[in-house]
Amino acid sequence: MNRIIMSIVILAVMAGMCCWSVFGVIKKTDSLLEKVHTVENAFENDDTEKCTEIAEELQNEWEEFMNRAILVNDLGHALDITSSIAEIYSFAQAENEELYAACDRAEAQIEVFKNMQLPTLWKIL
Amino acid sequence: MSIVLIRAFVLYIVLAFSLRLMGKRQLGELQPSELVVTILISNIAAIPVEDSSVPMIMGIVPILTLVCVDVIMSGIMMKSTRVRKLMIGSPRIIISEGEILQKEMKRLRYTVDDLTEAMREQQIFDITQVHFAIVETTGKINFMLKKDFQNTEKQDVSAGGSTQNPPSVIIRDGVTDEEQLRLLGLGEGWLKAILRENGVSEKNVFLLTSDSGGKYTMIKKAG
Repeated sequence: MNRIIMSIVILAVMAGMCCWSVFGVIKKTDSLLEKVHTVENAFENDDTEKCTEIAEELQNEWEEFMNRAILVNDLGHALDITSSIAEIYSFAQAENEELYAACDRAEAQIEVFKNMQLPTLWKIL
Repeated sequence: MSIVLIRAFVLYIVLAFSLRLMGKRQLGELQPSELVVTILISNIAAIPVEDSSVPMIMGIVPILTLVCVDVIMSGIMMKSTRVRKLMIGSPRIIISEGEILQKEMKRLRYTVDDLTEAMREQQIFDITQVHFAIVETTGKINFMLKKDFQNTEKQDVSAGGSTQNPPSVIIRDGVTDEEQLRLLGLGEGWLKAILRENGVSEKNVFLLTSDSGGKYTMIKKAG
């Protein structure tokens, strides 16, 4: 009986952790995507200072999140996002037009990272 | 390399805990579902050890899920005869009173070779010596020899015994196995008489076994 109770508890804890990780990743990736948009908009409006500041914030936020995110997601994918976000920051500092491309790439990678966590029927199958 | 070392160590602890949670059983005694879980666990555990880019949690979560579901299912099986029969089946008789039940063997997809091999494993070399054979849910076949071929020790145990089939379970945990009752050739009237004689209802019987001669053993439910 103890084993059964322990199993139920473990399953409940794991289910809770899974839900928490899904919601956590969605919340964080949404925040990251919003920051990428802000960087892009600031660059478009020639607000270099704001663009660099947000790009730095974006990089810090991602690095902080990545340490936890690799617990539930593939490391290779996380490293791709790290390099794209690093590019955004360096292009923002250098006022390089390639920032747009870097932002689009980062957006797409973050979207995939987010979608990987969602347990849709399609993915389960 | 240190990552692999630490991962292997952590997974060892998880596996040891998981197998402990599953309970003690020898490999040959595993039920089909337990065997599947054991094989799956060993494969899943290998993935995060081999590939360090895969999060270790991707190995731990499915291992614990499989083990926990298996333990919960075994708990349900303990309570429900129907679920138990559905999940692990029930023991099937393939030789009764020295006669091979060919239909039953076909149904179990057992060949004569399987039967003779199982006999040889138990030092039985002549099928005419076998009085009774039963295929357990684990797939193992157990034999009972005819009285004349039982060794001295066995004869002592079954001193005064008959050549009837060994006792079968009639009531388990308050539920009557009608099929067994029919196979033993004992009617419902016999069962009712036994219950009346002992002053118990069917629901209060934990275990009732009987041979075809009506020699029975009854264990009432505790409390």
